[in-house]
Amino acid sequence: MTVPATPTGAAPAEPPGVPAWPGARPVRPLDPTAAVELQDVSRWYGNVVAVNDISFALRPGITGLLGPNGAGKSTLLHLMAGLLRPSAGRVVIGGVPTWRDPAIYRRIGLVPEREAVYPFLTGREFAVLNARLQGLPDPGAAAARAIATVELSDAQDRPIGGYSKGMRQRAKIAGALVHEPPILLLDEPFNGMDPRQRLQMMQLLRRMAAEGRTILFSSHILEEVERLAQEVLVIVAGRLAASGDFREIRRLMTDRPHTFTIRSSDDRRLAAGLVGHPAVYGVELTDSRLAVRTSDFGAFTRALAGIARAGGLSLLEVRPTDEDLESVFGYLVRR
Amino acid sequence: MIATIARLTFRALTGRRRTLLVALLGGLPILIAVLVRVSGRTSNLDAVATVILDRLVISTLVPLVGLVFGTAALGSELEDGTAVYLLTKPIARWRIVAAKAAVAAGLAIAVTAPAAFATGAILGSGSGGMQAALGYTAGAAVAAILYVVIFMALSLVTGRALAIGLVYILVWEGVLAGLFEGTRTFSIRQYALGVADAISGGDGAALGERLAGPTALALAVAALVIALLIAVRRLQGYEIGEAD
Repeated sequence: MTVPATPTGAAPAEPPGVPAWPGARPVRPLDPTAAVELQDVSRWYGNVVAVNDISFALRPGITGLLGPNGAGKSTLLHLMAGLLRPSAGRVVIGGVPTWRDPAIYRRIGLVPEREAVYPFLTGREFAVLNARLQGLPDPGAAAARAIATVELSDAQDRPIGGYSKGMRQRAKIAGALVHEPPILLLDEPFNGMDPRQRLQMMQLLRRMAAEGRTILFSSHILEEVERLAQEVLVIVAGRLAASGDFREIRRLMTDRPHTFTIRSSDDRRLAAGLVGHPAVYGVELTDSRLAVRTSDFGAFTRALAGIARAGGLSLLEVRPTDEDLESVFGYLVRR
Repeated sequence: MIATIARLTFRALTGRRRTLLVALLGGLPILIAVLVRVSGRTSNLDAVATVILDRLVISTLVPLVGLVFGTAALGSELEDGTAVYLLTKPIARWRIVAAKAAVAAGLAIAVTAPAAFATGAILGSGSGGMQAALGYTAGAAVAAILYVVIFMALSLVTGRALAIGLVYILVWEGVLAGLFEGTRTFSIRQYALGVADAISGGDGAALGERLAGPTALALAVAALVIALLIAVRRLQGYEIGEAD
């Protein structure tokens, strides 16, 4: 992949990391500016490799973790949250490995993907519980702040068991925010939210990022990442396929070769017309269809109708054949 | 911190339908004792009391109650995913184990000890009967604590703790531990009976059929410490993965 995001693998130029809390076991960070750093991290289950030799660093701001279902996003988030032991490599927060060190949870807020939340607690009780478990001096006030932040005040005294999916998601986020962590990890946070809640949540995350927090959220929906993240990590089949500025990766996704399947009133004449267009670099004519390969999605789609009209042809079907997210990710991996 | 986890565990355990059924189960030996009394039987009541207290309370009720509370205390949260809210907090794992074990054991004692005492008191006669009731109550409490902690540790080792625990109760405690003398030192039931005998002045230990009271208590404490250490160690290295 051509968009390296972080200078991993370089020799450390800074002194060893200073432990962020008493008793922490400091290690030498590769990137001293990073809030979270993964160093050659792999995780496998028997013969199955879930995460394969991934290195990157997270800095303050919003980073999107993009990938199809089953790509290893949740495994990666759980590794970062210290809930999974890396099979190889290490995850470091504040210069300290996350595995088997509960003290890191003062600095991390995790919103898991699983919906399960104690159904017998009310939203307020859940937030207070999280505040107490964090050892905050005024759990009630901290919980009230978090509840207000996720706009759950109206439902805070109802049991979570009766919440909608979106409300439950906001309760989980309130629980993760209650200690105002500098690092927030969210696994598919927009699942189940309606468009208005989604917008509010995006505004909230932007606000928190503006306060200097490091936020990583996973998603399999390109548009969510596009609207929110400045930086993006693309993970496919456990490997980091791309990382860096979202616009650069988006450009790669858009400019990649596209294939269209076309049916028209006369495929042979249409093929003759298309083959002379500069955006078209391949045409394949079969008995029942015309397959066209183009390097410029926009130029081709704009030109196609004009070429058909000029030849007096009718377009019966125009279908992009590789527009699913898996194809896009597959292309990035191959690069 | 421990109090917060304890309150959460109490609400989680008492809010389950299974807990209600287990609590009702605690009334069964009392009901049988009442039926024996109202049937008018007067001869050999102490022997009947011993059979009911041993077979029904110590050998059946206590392990089943310990199994339900022990496997649910942490296991149900690990199973449904809510444990992540506990495990992503800056809390030493031993505190989580201690809080959950204390609440689950307390609930198990609350169900089994009154059942043992009431059964003994209803069927017993005179001061000897009351002494037996107290002995079996103490034995039930010791066994309840042990079963809860051992099954809690088991729930951190395997996702099939309930099934394995049931097999253990039926096969090991129910059959094998009573057959061979050497196996008694590895039987919670035998620890409970040893403690009960020591308090009630029963002759089981004198006959060589049961463990002596101090031996039973020492073995029970050793088993408790080992189970707690295993539980803490397993929780320290417990992994929560999530298929995406």
